[in-house]
Amino acid sequence: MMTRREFFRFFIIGGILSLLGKKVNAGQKPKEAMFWRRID
Amino acid sequence: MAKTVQCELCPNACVLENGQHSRCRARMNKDGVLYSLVYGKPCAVHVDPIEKKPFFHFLPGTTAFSIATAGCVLSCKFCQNWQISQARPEDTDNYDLPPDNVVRQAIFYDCRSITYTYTEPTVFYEYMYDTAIIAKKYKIKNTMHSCGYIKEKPLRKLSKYMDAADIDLKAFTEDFYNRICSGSLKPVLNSLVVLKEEGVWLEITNLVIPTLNDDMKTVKEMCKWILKNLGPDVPIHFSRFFPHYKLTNLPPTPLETLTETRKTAMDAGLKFVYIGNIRHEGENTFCPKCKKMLIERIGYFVKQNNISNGKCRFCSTSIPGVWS
Ligand code: SF4
Repeated sequence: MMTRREFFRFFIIGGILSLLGKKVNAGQKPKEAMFWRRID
Repeated sequence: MAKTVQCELCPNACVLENGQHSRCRARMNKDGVLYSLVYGKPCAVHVDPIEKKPFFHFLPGTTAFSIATAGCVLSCKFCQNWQISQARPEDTDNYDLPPDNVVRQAIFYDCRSITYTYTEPTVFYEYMYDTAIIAKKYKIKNTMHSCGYIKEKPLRKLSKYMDAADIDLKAFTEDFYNRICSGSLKPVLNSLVVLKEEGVWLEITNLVIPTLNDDMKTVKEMCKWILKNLGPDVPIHFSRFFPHYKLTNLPPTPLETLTETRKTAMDAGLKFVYIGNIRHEGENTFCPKCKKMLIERIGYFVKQNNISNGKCRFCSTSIPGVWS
């Protein structure tokens, strides 16, 4: 169950902040892929 | 030391030297490690009716928070979103929207589901997977519209968090997949079976393209395959083609072709056969038993819904789907 505190932190504040989302370049912080292997 | 890697996500199985980008444009080998370049960086973010995906048997009348990043595993000559699917992530305008923010926004906009769509969600697998886990925690459903061109292992892993999938079955010949999409049919058929086995709610979309995949003999074969391997309850959407991207030489699909395709599928034994991208009674859902209209749609909008607790309101026949 979600607590009232979680609700405020997760939805209200986050929702408003994320509405102000800015445009960014892809690849700035790449994430390691999940399915791959080295073939050396 | 050589730093070559191989991606094991989709059947393209890209082998990449250090510094090389993948065929889908969304991955790169950096110093012997394969990276996703689009994690948390969607180029398309919208709130859509779920009917637009299209899902007709999944929470009708609700909205889906919809995201996509640049890139695709295929290169279909008729792609309707080619500006982003065939683009490099560096060339699109991207938002900074990590998985927890996607879920937050979905809740903020009162969406019952998140849909991974527009381009090919396989290219942003890690982003989709992490978002789906968080969404599940907050009782938001996950759906995807995919070409199904993905390997079995990652698909099974993803299926644990995916509530519904609409898979593009673009045609029923290897020749079409090779020539028009630079892919192959077999892995797509395998994905359909895997999704069914994993209990993911499944719908199929087939874009009917004049002269390329509108041969009724092949349509019949495709429907027989669906019936045998997935059952008669899987909804299939025959969509109208409009000239796009590299196929501007062909006309839009005539209504007669779409109605013939629909009849062929129904005669083959499929119970829920729809026509899309055109106003027609084939947009509506009918009870397979009493034949009364269950869901009346106008484009993406639901005008009336006569399904109650998953059953026909007139004759109580159970209607397959996810209704609440
Ligand atoms: S997901 Fe992309 S990098 Fe991986 S095999 Fe497919 S096309 Fe290549």
